[in-house]
Amino acid sequence: MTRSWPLRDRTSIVGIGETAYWKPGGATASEFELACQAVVRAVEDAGLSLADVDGLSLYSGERSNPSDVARALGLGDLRYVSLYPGGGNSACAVVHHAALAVAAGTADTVVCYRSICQGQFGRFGGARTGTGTARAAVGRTVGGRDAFTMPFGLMSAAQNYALEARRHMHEFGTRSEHFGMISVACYANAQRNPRAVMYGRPLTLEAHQRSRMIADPYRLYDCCQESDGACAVVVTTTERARDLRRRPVWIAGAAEGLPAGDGGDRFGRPRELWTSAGLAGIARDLYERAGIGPSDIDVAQLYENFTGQVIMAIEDLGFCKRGEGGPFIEGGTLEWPGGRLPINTAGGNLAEAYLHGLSLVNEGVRQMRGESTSQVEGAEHCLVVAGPSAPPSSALILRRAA
Amino acid sequence: MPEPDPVSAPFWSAAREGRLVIQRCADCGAFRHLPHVLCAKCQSSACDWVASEGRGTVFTYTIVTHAVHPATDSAVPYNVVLVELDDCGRVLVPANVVDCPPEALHVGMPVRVVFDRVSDDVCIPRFARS
Repeated sequence: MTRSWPLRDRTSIVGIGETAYWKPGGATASEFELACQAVVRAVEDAGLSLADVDGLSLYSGERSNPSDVARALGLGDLRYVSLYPGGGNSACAVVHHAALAVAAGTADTVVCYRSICQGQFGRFGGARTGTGTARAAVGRTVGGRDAFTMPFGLMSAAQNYALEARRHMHEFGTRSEHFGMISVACYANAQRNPRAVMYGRPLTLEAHQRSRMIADPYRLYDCCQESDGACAVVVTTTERARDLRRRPVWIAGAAEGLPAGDGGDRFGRPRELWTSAGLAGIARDLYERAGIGPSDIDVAQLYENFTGQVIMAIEDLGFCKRGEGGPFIEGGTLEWPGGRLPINTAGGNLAEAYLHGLSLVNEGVRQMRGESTSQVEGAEHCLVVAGPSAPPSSALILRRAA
Repeated sequence: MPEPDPVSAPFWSAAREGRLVIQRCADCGAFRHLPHVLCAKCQSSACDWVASEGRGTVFTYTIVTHAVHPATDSAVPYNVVLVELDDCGRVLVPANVVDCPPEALHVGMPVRVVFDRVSDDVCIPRFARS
């Protein structure tokens, strides 16, 4: 079913913005102020004015309401506002939707933003019911699906994702050291990025292996951070981008979705999806749309909810065969600058900050501009993958403008 | 503590009587767990409940050492498993394996259902090594 994607390179990211990043509780301003600050900086970076913004593309759980942000910032007439379901799975989907909107002419300039202050609104890693930031603390009794998980102590994200990691280890021989290699690569990049929450806090594989167990096989450093901060990106057409201040970064391909049989409570999903990030269909669409393959990817930003899911994402995205993700990453494959596939060059969710993945898009843009603190020399294509094994997920291929 | 709702009530009332039952589509015969209002294969809302022999194997597991809820503070370390039943369409059932030290737990371990009466009204099906 080869058909050309009419949007290839036709839309661009023209501005990025972010606040400082902190550990939960560290933010010096309210979550709403941070959201506004990130949008202002992204629009400034693009060389646009706030009145030029006529669209907002957000994802579920965003507490900084788009109408409040529009009012506070004096945005133009909004002609497109959308909200994608879920959390970190959406980080690339919001950019996809922004691209669709500007390509269709529904809006001219769409901003995607994410603000999270876990210190102000509660953290995700605990026992929660519901999804995204709309979750509530668990009471004494639980109904619905939760009645079939929480009485067994299955309550947190780490515990749920550990079940997949253990199955991957069983089927393919993946080891905890492989998970650790993901963390080590991310932390190493954070040491070159002063924005990173873990700047100045290097991590060795030995320290990863010594770190306390959270939910076997996941140790502390296999779990993404929780953070305070906000970031934003500005999307417009590549044609309009030519007149703007910054060199545009082309959106070569964008894809999103959910594999048949997945979703819902996920216990009944096809067995092979227990050892996959569920991104195979997205990968197929993404490469076809961008007109390139895995061997053309120079650098990647891969959402780390948990390290094992990154290995599964690497397999789904075609960098190695299914089940071979562990051996594939041995020998520094993911490390900057010498590895075949440097990942998470700002430190990623693990070591830069956890903004539900939108900060990974910002870093992808920096790579394509040649401005990363761990710049991959001559990089032409950056893959960005949103939350693995969190359907519906999403991904982007960014291309350095010719 | 589980709180039965209209969809799951037959599961919990059977458990109270010491039976593990799994929901089956009354139209196409597909089993499903967790309980749901619709069959994902044929979208029928008609269902019946089939008694399982309660035997299966551990499909995957985790051992929780970091408590995230006050109710589990004194329980850590504890395991959470997915049991693949031998019958009832080999559905996966989230549960615990009781009386099993962490080092003994492994994928593929045969288990059988046991019933944990946590109150006068509530009985939770868990599993034990068989």
